[in-house]
Amino acid sequence: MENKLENEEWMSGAPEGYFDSLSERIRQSVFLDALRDKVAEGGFITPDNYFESLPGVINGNLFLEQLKGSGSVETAGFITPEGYFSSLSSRIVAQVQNVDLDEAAMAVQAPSKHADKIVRLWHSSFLKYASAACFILLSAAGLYFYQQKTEPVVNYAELANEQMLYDIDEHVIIEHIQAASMEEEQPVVAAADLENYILTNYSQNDIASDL
Amino acid sequence: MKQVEDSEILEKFSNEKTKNEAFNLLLQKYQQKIYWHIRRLVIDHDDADDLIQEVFVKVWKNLEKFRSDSQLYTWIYRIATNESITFLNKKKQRNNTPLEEVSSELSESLVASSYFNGDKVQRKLQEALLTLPEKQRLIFNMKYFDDLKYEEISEITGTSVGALKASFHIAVKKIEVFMLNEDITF
Repeated sequence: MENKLENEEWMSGAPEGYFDSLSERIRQSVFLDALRDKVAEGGFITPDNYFESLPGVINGNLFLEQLKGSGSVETAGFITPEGYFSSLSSRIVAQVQNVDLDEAAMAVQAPSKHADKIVRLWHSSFLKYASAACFILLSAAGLYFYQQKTEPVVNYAELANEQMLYDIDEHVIIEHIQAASMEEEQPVVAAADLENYILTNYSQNDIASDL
Repeated sequence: MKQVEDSEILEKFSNEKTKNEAFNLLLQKYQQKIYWHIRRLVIDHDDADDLIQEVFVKVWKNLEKFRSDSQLYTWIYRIATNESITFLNKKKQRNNTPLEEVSSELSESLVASSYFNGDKVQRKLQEALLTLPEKQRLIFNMKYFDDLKYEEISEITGTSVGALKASFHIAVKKIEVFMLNEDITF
């Protein structure tokens, strides 16, 4: 009886509806606990050495903040002549107009550049050299095959002579050669040639004394 | 004065009758920002003056071809950046000087310039910036002075956002060390 009274007193101290949602909250805690075991860090990663370099980066940023606080950032100490920016636009526009005029003048001076369409035969150096190489190869191939196809000239006269010699007996050939060689050793001198030689090389007295 | 929208400028520019008006609106809107961007790179006012005129002549010639796949501002910014880098490279080649000496020349120009009235901190900051590699200085300027987002700087320079962040933080570290070595405190 006393215990039941104590419990009733204790329950009346809890927030309204506390026990209605308690079981659901306990169930969720158990679920999250199990989840943490499987997915400890949420799957995110950082670049290598990130946390080692982070203090340096933060200190650098603090330094820059101090630097900015010490003076003008945009101009950083640089100044311009008085009224510079107020005249800058008009000077730039004048430059642009000069450029336009120059381009227009060039177009007037050289109208043919636009009128005549020039078609380049060789679009690139590679095409030019490739064409030349092909022409040389084809010429060389043609010349080679032309030489191969040309028939050898046969000397029928020589062949006929060789056949005749083959038919003649060899003893006859030997006697003919020996006779020819003797004639060569004793050349026949014409009488007229002999007379001329004597008259040229000897005087009349020498000739008369010999006679 | 109410800022004109880029879309309105582009629409007016496409019409021959309103082309000049559109160009003037464009100049009013962007000339100062572009000037300061160039000036911080080349230091000298006269050089910046020549370059800004060249930049906007190029804008005039090419605005018709502008595709709206990037913002108009970042497109103009990119032209200005390229012209400034080309100018600095030509300066190197003309004088046949290595990069370190060009930075030294720019630093001397800063000292001699009658168009610089920064205090000690601002002067030292510029000197620190001139010790940085050209691209790092460019990225720092765009992030710190022009307050551009990394995505916008990426559009302008063609460098990835990650590389830009790394480059910027390295630049900040170098500047911090330089300033500390010069006994500059805040």
